Amino acid sequence: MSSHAITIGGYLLFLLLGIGLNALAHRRGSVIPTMGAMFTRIMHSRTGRIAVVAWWAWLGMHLFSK
Amino acid sequence: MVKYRRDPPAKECRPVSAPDARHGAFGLSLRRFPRGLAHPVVLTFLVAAYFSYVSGDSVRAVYLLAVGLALAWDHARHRSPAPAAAAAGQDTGRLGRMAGFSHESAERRRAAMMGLLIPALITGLAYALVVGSFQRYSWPATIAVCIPAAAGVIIAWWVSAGSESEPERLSRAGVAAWAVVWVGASAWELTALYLQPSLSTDSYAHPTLSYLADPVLASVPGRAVVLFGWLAFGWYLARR
Repeated sequence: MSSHAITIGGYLLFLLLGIGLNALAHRRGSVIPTMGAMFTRIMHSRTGRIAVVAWWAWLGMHLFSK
Repeated sequence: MVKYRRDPPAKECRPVSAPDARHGAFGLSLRRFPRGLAHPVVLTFLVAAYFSYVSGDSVRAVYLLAVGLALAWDHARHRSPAPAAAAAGQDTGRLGRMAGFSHESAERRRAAMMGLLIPALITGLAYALVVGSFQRYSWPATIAVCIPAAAGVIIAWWVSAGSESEPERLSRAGVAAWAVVWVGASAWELTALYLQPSLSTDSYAHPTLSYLADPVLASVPGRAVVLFGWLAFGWYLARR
């Protein structure tokens, strides 16, 4: 197996883990918070809200701007 | 001869003027600033700025550093007594403006955003199609992306307030599970970055997420879809 495939496999694994965790979180009585609840909790504070929005802004600039 | 000691001048009893109070709050914030630098969120931005810089991306390194320092200052400033003064009735205009994004107003905000959904959807689609037609890293693309990005950060900065209410309690196991996913994915990306021939040279053998996104972002439809997704994610965050 090549390094390329292993690296991509790692990304896919974390992506599937995230999707699976979110699916588990939506089950009735689950103790796992949904991704939305995680964002809401992080953005409960002023620092957290600004940091998340700044990270979102960085993502757009990273992909498209000089 | 008995010398009577005079009481201290009435300076301490004199009401503190607004410039004096501002000067005092500024000094207090300045003293608290180094502690603000140790805030985990601030440290995350400073570390990201470092990695951005060593990867040769000095513009975004400056952006991340500026956000980190501003957050540290903001954290220090908001621990000063100014909010108490505001709560006591002073500077209510500012307090009113800052409460715009508080947790308490979330339901009202979501309802207002729901009313704007159709116009926002049409605007977002038009934006994605137009900006998606620009070449990546060109000046038009840079300006077009920086406008909503800067607007988002400025709005969040000016109207965000820490919520007075208790945050929703999340189970530690659940938070730990999400931390494993996010920290693991970030570590995996950083490992790929460090396994490249150099930090500024892409590698097929150890692709980063940016490298993997390149073929998608090479076409106009790909850029339009990613831009629309980016805006939609911003919308999703604004509803939190």
